[in-house]
Amino acid sequence: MNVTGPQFLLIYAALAVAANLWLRWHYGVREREARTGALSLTNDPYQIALLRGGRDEAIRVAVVTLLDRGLLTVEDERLHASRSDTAELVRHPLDRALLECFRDPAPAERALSSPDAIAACDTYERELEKKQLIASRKTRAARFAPFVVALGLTLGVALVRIGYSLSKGRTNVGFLIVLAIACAIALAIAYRKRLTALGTDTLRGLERLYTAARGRLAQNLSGADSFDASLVAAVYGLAALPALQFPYLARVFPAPKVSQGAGSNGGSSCSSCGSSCGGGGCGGGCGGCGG
Amino acid sequence: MAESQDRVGIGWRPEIAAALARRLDDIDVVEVIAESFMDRRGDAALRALAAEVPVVLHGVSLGLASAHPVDEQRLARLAHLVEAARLPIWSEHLAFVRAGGIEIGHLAAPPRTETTIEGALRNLARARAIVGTSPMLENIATLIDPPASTMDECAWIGGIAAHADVTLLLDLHNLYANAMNFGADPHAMLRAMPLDRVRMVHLSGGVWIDGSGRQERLLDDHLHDVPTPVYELLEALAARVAHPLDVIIERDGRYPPIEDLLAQVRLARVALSRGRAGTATTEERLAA
Repeated sequence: MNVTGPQFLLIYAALAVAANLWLRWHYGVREREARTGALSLTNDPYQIALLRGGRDEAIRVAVVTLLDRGLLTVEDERLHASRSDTAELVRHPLDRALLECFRDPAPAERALSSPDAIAACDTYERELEKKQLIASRKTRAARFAPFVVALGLTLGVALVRIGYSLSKGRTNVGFLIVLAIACAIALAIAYRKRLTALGTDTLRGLERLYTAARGRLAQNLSGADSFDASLVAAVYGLAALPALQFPYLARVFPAPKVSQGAGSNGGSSCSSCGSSCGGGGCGGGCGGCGG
Repeated sequence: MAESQDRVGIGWRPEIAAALARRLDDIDVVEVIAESFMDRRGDAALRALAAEVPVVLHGVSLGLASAHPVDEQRLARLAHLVEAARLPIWSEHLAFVRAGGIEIGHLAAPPRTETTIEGALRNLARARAIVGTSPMLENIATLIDPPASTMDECAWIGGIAAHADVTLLLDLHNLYANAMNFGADPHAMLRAMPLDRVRMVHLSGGVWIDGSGRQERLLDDHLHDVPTPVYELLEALAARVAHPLDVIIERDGRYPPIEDLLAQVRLARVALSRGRAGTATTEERLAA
């Protein structure tokens, strides 16, 4: 191997990038092929919320939808079912679970630990796995072999080079070790990704489809109702709901404080930030929005 | 007449998207304007929509009925959309939309002549080559009879459809408006159309406007409900063809509550089922 250390690092970095790109491309192709018939997401926004932000997000969107419909009310920072029999009036299991949860006044956070609400979300989760939008055990099994190939190749090359360097008495392999670990982490992230490629595409598509619905809600145009609010919150995050029409939102679910330039947030806080700022980016200081 | 698998739906517009999303179970199909989805995430959006409900693409900017060659870049963008969203069914108007490099911003009726038939056939061949499939061709409404025409609308459309061997999207309000504006019987016009080629139908509404001081004209503005005579035309059409029809309610503004649009979907279904059952309308009986 007549390449110098820096030259090898460059070559290795290129290999690491290529391995990552290949793995993601491979997953993308395989997972997009998996489409199986109708998805039926849009008539149930809670499924979209769960797809986008997980169980807690689905519960938050459901709580806000029930508040918007007047089935829940806010009293002294606590939520309360507006009538004792509201749980019997709704057909949706998640709605019913939440109305039961707030039969007695309680802080909104209680919803996130309600066993019935969690069970309703688990049903959604399985449904979304069946629709191949969320990675299931089967998806992860299919992802495993290509992951091992990519990981084996990149780590193998690094180990061979480290062994060769050490055999020549050179111990300056720190950068290579760091690079190999970074590459392995990036590959693991691709392998463990919660959404399938189909799920990611579907979310992007829904964001594009309902841009006008979000705009109409923000402008308080006639015709917008609680379903519109629910759909917009599900697709774009709660921060997409205009504060004027949803004044209780900040009290019920205060936005998480994100430090300036925090970089990589979780999916939901990122979309929330982008929504209320009216821009596409995250990490630009969520604290400055809505003020 | 045998029962057909007709589908009835609504034109997807951003303004009614959320309302439609909740009522997708009440419609069989949606039609999207292709040009609205030709941006970066358009194909993902179409795929997401097509996973919810059957989707057909409708183009408005190609200008197929023109002596000028259709813009190949527009065709390429359309081809990308058809491919990416896996939507093989698309339609476009028999109209010209630009001339001398100027966009008219309107679907204009060309003179109905052999020359424009040849131009349309060249453009259709080009469209088929680039997109991979031929569009369904839609008749347009016009407030003036195209000058220098040598044939009537039905013969002109029939000539293009027969030579290009394509199917038709028959806009019944356009047909009705043209009949009203030029003193023709809409049911006679319907019968003169090559109905065996009609696979899709548009229904929409319009408004009567003053026409150069003397005669009122019916403007096809897509801002009003579908009028009763147009449902009667649909019924007559359904009575005359055996194959399935996709029927789309078009609305481009002054959106009513979604319930009103769904009521029009239901009226279309009634007209179709009456037609399929062979129940002729008053006009049809009189004509017979």
